Amino acid sequence: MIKGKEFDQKIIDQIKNRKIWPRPRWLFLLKNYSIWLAGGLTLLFGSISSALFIYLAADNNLAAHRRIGFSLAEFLLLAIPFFWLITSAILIYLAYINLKKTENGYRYSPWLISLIVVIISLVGGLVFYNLGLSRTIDNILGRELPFYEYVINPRVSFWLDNDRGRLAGIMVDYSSKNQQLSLIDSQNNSWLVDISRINQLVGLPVIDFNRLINQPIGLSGKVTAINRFEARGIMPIKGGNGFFGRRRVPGRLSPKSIIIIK
Amino acid sequence: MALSNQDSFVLITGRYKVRLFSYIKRLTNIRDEDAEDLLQDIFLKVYLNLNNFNRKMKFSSWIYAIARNQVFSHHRKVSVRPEGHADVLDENISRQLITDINAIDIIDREISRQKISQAIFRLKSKYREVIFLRFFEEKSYQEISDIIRKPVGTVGSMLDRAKKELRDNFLKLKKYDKRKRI
Repeated sequence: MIKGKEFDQKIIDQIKNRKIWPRPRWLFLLKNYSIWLAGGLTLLFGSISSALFIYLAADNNLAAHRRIGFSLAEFLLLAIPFFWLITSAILIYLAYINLKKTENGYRYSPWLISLIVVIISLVGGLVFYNLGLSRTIDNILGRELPFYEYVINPRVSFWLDNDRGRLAGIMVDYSSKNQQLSLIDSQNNSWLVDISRINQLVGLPVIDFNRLINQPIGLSGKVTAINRFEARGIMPIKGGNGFFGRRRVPGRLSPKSIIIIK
Repeated sequence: MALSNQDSFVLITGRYKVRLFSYIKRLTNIRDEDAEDLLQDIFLKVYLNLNNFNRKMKFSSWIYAIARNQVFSHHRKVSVRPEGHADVLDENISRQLITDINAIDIIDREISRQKISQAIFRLKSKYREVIFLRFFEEKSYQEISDIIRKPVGTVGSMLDRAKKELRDNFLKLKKYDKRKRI
């Protein structure tokens, strides 16, 4: 039956009766461009996510954590920005899926496409990191996003635990003569911190306190009185500038509210 | 490739209907009437998507790829896995297959062409499919790649594994035959 002309005629009759025509070319082009666009966007967001990963992961040296007295496990837990690592991985995977779905994507090895996607995301991430985009985005997220300190940058919440002898905030002043620094925490409280007992391990670089002014820092030690803290260890916190600045309503932070080190 | 005259589509149906019909039958175990219905759906889909033809591939590969998708989506709808049809092989195809998998040494003359098709039928469906495309439809690696939408390298390794599995199946059949004779 299939070999006869009747079959061909049946198809033609169906086409005519159902009044169907080939779909226009632009519809397919639109679909293809949409897939490319989705692939491009996921690559872009993947690069931004990688930039934030690099930003939060950079300058995490084990030596500084030794100064505080953390174990390697604690160091890894705090040093690796898992949120951005997972987000980057998801976006890279989505970019891979999109590129595979393009018209000729199936012709290339999955390994080759994966490699290209990972390289583009990393190179893009490095470019965005060097342009300062990651810092800007982290500041915005820290300022605007609830749970920033728990989800995006958990090292911030780690340091916000006075009961366990930790204190975090923006360092606003420092006196080498008095061995003191002042700090404003996330609740906008001003603290006077005694740094005379900070451990300085042999062979480790000397802490340059002047470079830490206006930067978020974490301190380990103990609360000695109201808004007084005795520090045993100090560590700059990467990221979180926006978070510590979120409660500082303009005008509220008058010079009087800051403990001035004389 | 838009067709201004719907009647000219008969050139395509006339050229591919028999080949696609046997391709459907090899991919599935459905009845002839159902295969014919499926073939009609395939041609309607081809007609609708004519403007999506990728000029980087052969037209036959493109039409086979649509047929394959339609077969799989039909089986998804009826929730049945496509199972190949174990028809008796053409003499030339069976000879070519046996030579290609270096099985001349293990195949007795008594093993009929029907047994060979049984060995093919026992293959995993993904391997059976590439064997069909390579030996029955005589497609090149690039054409198979375009039909099953996998890289050429993957097609090569799938064919290698398919041939190995086929050879193993022959060995099992031979053992089974010996036991039966005893």
